[in-house]
Order: sequence, then C-alpha cells, then structure tokens
Amino acid sequence: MADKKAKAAKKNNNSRSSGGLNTSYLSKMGLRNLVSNRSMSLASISVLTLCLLLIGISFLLLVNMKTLVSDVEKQNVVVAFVKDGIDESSIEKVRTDLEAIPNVTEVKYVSKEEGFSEQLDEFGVEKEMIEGVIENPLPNSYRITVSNIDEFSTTLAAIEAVENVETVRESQELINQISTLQKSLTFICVIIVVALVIVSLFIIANTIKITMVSRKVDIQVMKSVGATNVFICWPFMIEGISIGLISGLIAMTLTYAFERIEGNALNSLFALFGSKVVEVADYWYLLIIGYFVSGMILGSFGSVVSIRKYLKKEGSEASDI
Amino acid sequence: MIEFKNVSMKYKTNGAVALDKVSVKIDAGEFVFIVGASGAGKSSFLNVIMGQEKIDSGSVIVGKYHLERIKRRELPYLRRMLGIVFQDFRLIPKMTVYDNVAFALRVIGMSERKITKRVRYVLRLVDLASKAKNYPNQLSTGERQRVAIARALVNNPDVIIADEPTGNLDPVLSGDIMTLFDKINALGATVVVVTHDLELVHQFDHRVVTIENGRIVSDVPSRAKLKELKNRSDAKKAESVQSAPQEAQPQEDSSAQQNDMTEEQASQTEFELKDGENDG
Repeated sequence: MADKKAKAAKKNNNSRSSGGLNTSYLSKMGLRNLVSNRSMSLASISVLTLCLLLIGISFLLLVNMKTLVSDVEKQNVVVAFVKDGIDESSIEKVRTDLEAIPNVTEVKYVSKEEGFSEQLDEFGVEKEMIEGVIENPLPNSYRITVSNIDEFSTTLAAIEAVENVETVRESQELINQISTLQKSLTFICVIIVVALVIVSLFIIANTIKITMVSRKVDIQVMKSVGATNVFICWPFMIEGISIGLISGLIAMTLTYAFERIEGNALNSLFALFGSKVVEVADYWYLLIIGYFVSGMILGSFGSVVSIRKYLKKEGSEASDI
Repeated sequence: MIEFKNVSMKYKTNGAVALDKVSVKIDAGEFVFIVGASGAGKSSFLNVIMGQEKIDSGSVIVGKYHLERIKRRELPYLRRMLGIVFQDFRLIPKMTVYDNVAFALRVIGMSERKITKRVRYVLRLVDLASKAKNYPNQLSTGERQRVAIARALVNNPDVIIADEPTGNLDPVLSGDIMTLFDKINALGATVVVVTHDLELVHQFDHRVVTIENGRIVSDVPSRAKLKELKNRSDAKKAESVQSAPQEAQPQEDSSAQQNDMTEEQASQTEFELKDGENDG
C-alpha cells in the first residue's frame, strides 16, 4: 500500500511539473475576451481613440506653431533705410558696418526702384497706372535678417546706430505676439496631453476593472487550479494592448482625415504669415510611434494597474471584489 | 499529508473567530468528511488548506508546504497539488466541458497532446466523455458537478478538496457524486469533503471530523478503521495474556498507551460500530 502511494505521489509530481507558459493559448484567450466583451472593448477603444487623437492634434499644433514662428523669424527682416544722396562708397560702408553686427545673418541691398516696385506689387497696383502721378518716396535700403529673436532689441539698436542709416522698419511686435502665443500654446498642449494621459489610464483601468469583476469566477477558477499571476495577467495584458493598437490605428486614420478636410483652411490662415501647415506625412513615423506605442503603453498599463489589486485578494477578501 | 497544529484564525473582514485551536492530521490516502453547521468554520478550514486565508497562530502543513510561512509566489504550486471542487461548480460558461477540464492543465503549461489524452481519460472516469463539446449551460446540475470533479482530478492532485459538493444536488445525485469520490479515493488520492449533510455522511464508511464554533468537537474514524484498530487491540491483548499472564496488568497498560486509540476512543468505537450496524 505504501509503495503504491509512493509511486502515485511520484507520478503526480511528474505530471504536475510545470512546462513553459503557453503564450499562444493565453494570447488567443485575450483576443477572444476582447471580442466577447465587445461593448466594454468598444467603450475603451472609443475613449482611448479620442484621447490619442487629441494628443496627436496637440502635437501637430505644437509642430505647426514652431514652424510658423520659425518662418516668421526667417522673414524677420529689419529694413534699414539709407540716407538719400550719399555716394556709393558710403552705401557700401553701411553694408560692411551692418554685416559686422553680431546676430545679423544676411544683409541684402534693395535699391529705391526695386523697393517701390515690390510695394506696388504687394498692393496689386499696376506701375503704369501711377507713373507720373506719384513719385517714388522710398530711399535705398538694406534688408537685414536677424538670427536670434531673443536678442532682437540689442541688434536693432546697433543697426540704428550705424552711420548713414536714416530710419529702421521692423516687426518686433508681431514677433513678440507669435512668440508669446507659441509659449502659451506649448503650455496648454502639455497640460492637455498630461490630463489626457491620466484620463486615458483611468478609463482603461476602470474598463479592465469592470471586465475583471464580470470575470471574477474565471479568476477564482484560475487561482484555484494553480495559475500564476503571469498566467492570469497575460490575457488581460493582450486585451489592453489590442485596445491600444486598435485605438492607435483609428486615431492615425482620423488624423489623416482631419488634415485632408481642414488642411486647406489652415493653410490659408498660415499663408498670411508667409508660412504653411506641416504635412502629416512629414511626421508619420513620429505619429505612428506615438499613437501605437502610447496606445499599447496606456492599454497594458491600465490593465496592470487594475489587475494588481485583484491578484492580491484571496479568500474572504476576494469576495469583496 | 495535511496537519493542523493548534491553529487559530479570525476573519480579517469582521474579526470573527473562524478557527479556534484546531489540531487534526489527515494521512495520505484517507477519506475524511468535515461536518458542521453553517458558519461552524468548515469553509475556513478548507480556505486555510487552499492558502486562501492566513492563520493567526499555530501551524499547518500541506504536503511539503508550511502554510504559516508560505510565500505568495508558492501558492499556485500548493494549489496544483490540490484538486478543488466547489458547491457552485465554478465552471467557466464560455468554455466547453473539454476546455473547462483542460484549463487546469493549460495553467501548468502542459502540451496540447498530453492535455487531450489526460482530459479524455478523466472525462471517461466521470462518465462525461460524450458531453465534451457541450457548454456548462447545456448540462444537468449533476453533470456540471462531475465536470467540476473532472477538472479537480485532471491534474492528478494529491488531495481532492470538495466544499459542499452536493449542496445543489438531490439525494440520488449526491449519492452518485460521493460514490465517485469513493472511486477517486480508491485510486490513491486523499479526499476531504466538507458537508452539512449528515444523512449522506452516514451512508459512507469514512472518518468524520465535526467542527462547531471553529473547534473540532469530535473526530470519529471509519468503521473499517475502528474494526482494524479493535482487532489489533484484541490480538495484542490475547498475545500478552498468553505470553506472560503474571505481568498481564502492566503490559496491558503499556499496550493501551501504544495503541492508536485512547480508552475514550475505544468506548466511542463500540458506540459507532453499533450505530453503524443499526444504520446498515
């Protein structure tokens, strides 16, 4: 009898020896759960898509603002009008003096005729129409490009101090406004992104939690037959990651659609500042990584947060789940 | 196999005493009924064995595990040596009978080929081979409980633990389920059945441990065991009388001490035997 029991015990130990984790079975289980809990999955996907989309749009908004400011900075031309009636060598000396100023990247000479012609073009006036009526009021000038906008005031003072420079025209106010707008938008976008990440986590965690409650029996059965925490968590992680991936895909598609629909309108607005809207295609790799990775992270992290609490409960505590 | 030494515990949720200085030993291959009224502490007793509740004092040994100091990560491995059957069956409704049973083997990472072989064998044992593709809601109550037993058995556990396994069944089905447990016990597994159905308990010849208010108030061996113990005791008495009649008195005392039974148990034995005879 004792021999029989010993043999039986040995056989039992061998048959219970743990193999590897059956990941393909567990992954299938996770995907099956995603389909069978379709209403909850759909709710999670909708909310996460919305969050990802808003995060993506905030990102694109920031990129566009940066580009806009950069473009305006590029046009950040200070026009230095040269005194009338000075000789060519003096005009050339003005150029040398201007080029010597730190923070000046480019100095371009515009004759009074060229300047007048450009202004007429800008206002859509035919030159022939006003020939003989209005005399060219513009003096010769230099267009100076400044690199660092933060040192704009100092550079401007240095330009004004150059000998034979009569007046200076600049657009510091516009630049300041755009710069302030960019800073405010960056701040708002960062806050929006952080808030959305927290909201997404909360919603995903709650969705998984509701799923867990509805699958309380499954979890208890899993525990009672000796499932490890990794085994129990795996399907939920797969479910969370899948929700993240699907949401990422939908958000990506919607971003493209948004660009197609609203891109033209935004381009007209940006054109006023001599800039244009960045193409989503230019940032596709960042968007794909951002959407899918953050979707997966949010999905799986949401799962882990909610499962952890439930896995710790045993016996009478588990009945509180 | 299972040993409780002076175990006390209170429920964390309400502080009520669940077990009070419980000491009991269940050997490998035994069949034990744990009986008592609702709230007596039977389920707490099982929860401790399953590692679901932590004890406050004393010690509990299940196989190679000392439960008073078991680590959380060891719990799954403890549970793999136990086959647990619940009153409410706890079958996963979205899984077929086959998958419900196979689930216990997938948990331990067994290959699908071995799983198929083992599940088929166990389903034949509980007479449910023809229902393998059915879902739990397509089965009768008795069949569901047999699926739960098959799931508990499939992992070849050292101990089968059943918590009120017949609580939802009619008397005929209850008898069938108990017969099935008998069959499992005959195959070498230790079986611990918690029940409040004393009529059912009396139909079978197994050890009965009674719990009241968290204390063990009686521990009666099976009639077969009692007969065996009584025969052994009689044989020893006869042997001692024959070999040294003049030293009979002191030897008798010594044999009484060596005996597995106390005098109190012996008198109880006679009572239980008579009781059993009357019942039978």
